[in-house]
Amino acid sequence: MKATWIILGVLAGVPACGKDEPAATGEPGSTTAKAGEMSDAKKSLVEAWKKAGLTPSEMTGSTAFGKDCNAATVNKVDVVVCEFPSDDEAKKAEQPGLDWVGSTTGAAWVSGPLVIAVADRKKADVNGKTINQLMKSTPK
Amino acid sequence: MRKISIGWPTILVATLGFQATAAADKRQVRYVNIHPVAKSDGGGMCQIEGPHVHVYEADKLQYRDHHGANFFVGDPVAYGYDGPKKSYKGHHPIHVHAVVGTPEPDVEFCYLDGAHFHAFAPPPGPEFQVAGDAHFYVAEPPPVYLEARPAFIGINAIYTPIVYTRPRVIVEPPVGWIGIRAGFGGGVHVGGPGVVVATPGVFVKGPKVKVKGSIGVGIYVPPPPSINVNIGVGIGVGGGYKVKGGKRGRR
Repeated sequence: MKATWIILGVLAGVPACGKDEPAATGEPGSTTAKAGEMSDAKKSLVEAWKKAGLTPSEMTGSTAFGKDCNAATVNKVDVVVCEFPSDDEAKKAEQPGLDWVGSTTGAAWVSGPLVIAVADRKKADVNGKTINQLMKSTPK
Repeated sequence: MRKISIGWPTILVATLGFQATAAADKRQVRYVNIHPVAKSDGGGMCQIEGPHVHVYEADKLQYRDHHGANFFVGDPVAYGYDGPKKSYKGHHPIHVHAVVGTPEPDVEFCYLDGAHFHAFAPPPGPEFQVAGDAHFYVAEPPPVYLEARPAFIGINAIYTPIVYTRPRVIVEPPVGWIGIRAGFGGGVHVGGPGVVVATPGVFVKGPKVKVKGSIGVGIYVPPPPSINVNIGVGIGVGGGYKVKGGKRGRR
């Protein structure tokens, strides 16, 4: 009988590892090997957002859905920017970007070798204004 | 007391089954362009123009599929949208590819009766004419317009109870407008091929002839001598076409 309870306890813990929840490394502020490093492409992207009136938090290293990612928040919306060796590889990473979004409102799009994924996990952007601004001010 | 034993496989299947159901309830649904937000998520309008996802479903009357994403074809003002908008009257095509900026042509039809808004203008060209600041569809509709109409005309039942300010269109419709053409939007009763009656407020019925796709196309109803719109009370135009202006809950 004791074994039954132990196994039930283990199974109850399974959802925490499910697809619904973002990987811990995708959360802003999570630790990665490339913490603090920002390529020129990423810097240009952040500059473009700032010019559009957005105020991203400090970009911290992340491995959300790629090896070379940075995470931040913009108006409480979670944002991850991952860079890939080529535009084609970035295009292929759009779906992993959406997988990172998980069960919430969000989007993932490509800008050259960058994939930007945004997720409104805190429901702070119900009308999508911030996400739309992020999208529209991203350099083509 | 009898001891009840539950096998491990049973517990495992039940637990995993529950988890799968919970995950399925929250699946991502793809959208493109602005659309109403589900009431469960706060209501109002989602203003994301590019492709994005939510975890609520889109209905089959107010959305059309555009490369796997749901494109909203209803009136955004009914849901509180206060951005740039264009007035339309009656049924018309929507060049979805032009709205969302995709290369492959994707033309869908809006089946909203009467005056309504969209957040986009039609592409320039002869298929629309502007009168009284509203866009009227005056081209020959393709067969697919009539074929799909039964499936989508129910959209009007969604908007009838919604109280919001619709566009005021106080002009005579241009010649060739779909709303006064037999077999299309005007609800004109046709007594038989070649017999057309479209006098305001007057219905003339011949033997019941159902006007369908190929028959309806090609029957042309000339514009009535005068059409009164925006009077505040329903006026039958060409048969059963009610046009009202101002704030109201019913069309």
